[in-house]
This record gives sequence, structure tokens and C-alpha cells, in this order.
Amino acid sequence: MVHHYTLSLHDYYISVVKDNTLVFYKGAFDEKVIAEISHGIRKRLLTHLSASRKVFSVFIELAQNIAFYSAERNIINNKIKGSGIGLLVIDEHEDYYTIKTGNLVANKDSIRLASKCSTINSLNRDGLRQLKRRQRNQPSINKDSGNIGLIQVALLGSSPLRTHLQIVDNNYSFFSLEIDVYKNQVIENEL
Amino acid sequence: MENLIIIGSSNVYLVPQINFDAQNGHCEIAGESYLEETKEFYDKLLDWLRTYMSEVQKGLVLNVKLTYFNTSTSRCLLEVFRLLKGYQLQGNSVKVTWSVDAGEEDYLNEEIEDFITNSGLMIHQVIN
Repeated sequence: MVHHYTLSLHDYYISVVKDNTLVFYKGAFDEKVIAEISHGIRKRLLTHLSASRKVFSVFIELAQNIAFYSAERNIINNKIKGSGIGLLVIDEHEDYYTIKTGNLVANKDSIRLASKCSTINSLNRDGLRQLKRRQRNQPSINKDSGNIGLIQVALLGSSPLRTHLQIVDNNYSFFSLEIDVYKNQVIENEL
Repeated sequence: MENLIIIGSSNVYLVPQINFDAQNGHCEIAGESYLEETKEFYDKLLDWLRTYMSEVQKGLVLNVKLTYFNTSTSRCLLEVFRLLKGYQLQGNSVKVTWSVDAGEEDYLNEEIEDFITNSGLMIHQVIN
């Protein structure tokens, strides 16, 4: 007798995608996907213009990071093809939005990444701007040097950069990141 | 010397509108900047400016009207400002303004300040 396992998409829908999830995407972050999601962000967040701008900017930086740096890519005909694969979630809460991303990174790169995040979270706003200016100053020797995307995300966000590195196996770890963007400037200043 | 005109667009990428006038040295970068090949794009602007500086040798006025730019663009814009600062230090007239819509100052304030700090070039913020 053959047993068929049926995934209940409805169960998945309820457990993974909450009521307040605006965007949920797992896949390759190619240019068209980034464009579609970015247009969607601009359309859906119209009621909170200042937050909309920040969420848009944060999204572009994080999406580009996944596209360039994710260790996971599609292999078609034995060739690595296309943009990096990752996960993106944007949730809406009463007073703020949360942007979350996740992607695989090679273990050899994870220490540098963890160190970068640690540095970013140790700095206040002035410190972050100084770090950004310093990094931006450096000539870009390779595509990785002086990437100020994460610094920019930290500057745009209203919360610290919440990051986590989880070892997956001998070669890879899963890097996840969360940041909040407050809807109203007033609330942001009160905290 | 020919003018540099690039039509802006916003499909998959956000290409800024470029109008660089070789007759009067008035240059404008407007719209939004999020590109596929950022360095390649801004190298065109830098090449035009270098040619203007060596062939025309007159004053330059740059008006930036960017409402959004990603961090890759940021690096390239800094190169533009640095180039202009170098030209200014040689005794040429250089004026740079950044036009901002009322209500958007906060968002761009710090960015403009950081460009000024990094390049040494004065950028006047103009609120519409």
C-alpha cells in the first residue's frame, strides 16, 4: 500500500505566514524579484511615508547583499547560475515594521561577518556614520571591500541589528538578521 | 565638447536623469539611483567631467536632485565630489547644491553632511 503525504498548505500558511506579514519570499534574489518587492513596498506603505522610504532602502541593501553574497545559488546544468538565494520577511506591527532576512554563508566568511555585526552594534549613530565614511573612503579592491550596506541598514533602522549565525554543517552557516523601522518619528525620538 | 544626457528610468533598476551641459558647465543628477552596473554608469559622468576640466576649463555648477540612492551609488557620488574638489583646489569655480523637497530634509541631511566631510567639498542644501 502506498501512503501519500499531503502537505497542508493551509497549515503552512497559518504557521509560517502571520496575519501581519506583508512580504514573505524564499528564493533567488534576482533583479526582477527585487524590483517587484520594492515596488510592492512603495505601494503598500503609502500611509507611512517616512517609514516607507526607510523600509525600501533597508530592503534594497539587504536584498543586494543576499543576491551578491549568499553561499546558496541555483545549479543548472552543473553550472552555478543566477543570484543568491535567501529568505525575506517583512512584518507590520502597530507602531513599526520588522524586516528579516536569512541566507547561507560559507563558514570561512562567517567570522568576519559576525565581527562586522558586532562592531556595528557597538557604535552609536555618530560612530556608525564615522565607520561608514571610513569604509566608503577605501578603494574597492574587490566586490566585498568597503561594503557599507549593513552600516546603512543600521543607520536607517530604529532598533539595533539583531543578527544570528547558526552552524548548518562543516561548510555553511545560516546568517539571519532582523531590524525594526518605526512608523512615526515621534515614537522613535521618545525611546 | 558634447553634452552628456542620460534619460532616467525606473523599471527593474532606477536610473537617474543626467544633464551635463558643456556650454555653461551646468550639470544635473536627478531622480533615483539604484543600478545594475553602478561604477560603469558613474564612470561616464567622471569621464565627461575630466574631459570638461581639461578641455573647457571653465566653472562647474552641479545640482544634485537625487531623492534615493543605494550604498553602491554613494561610493560613486563621493568620487564625483572628490573630483570636483580637486578642480576647485586648482582655482576653478565649483558650486554644488542638493535640492531637497520640503519634508525630506531629515532623510538626506546626514548623507549630505557625510559627503561634505568625506570630500571636503561644500554642498549647499536647497529646500524646495
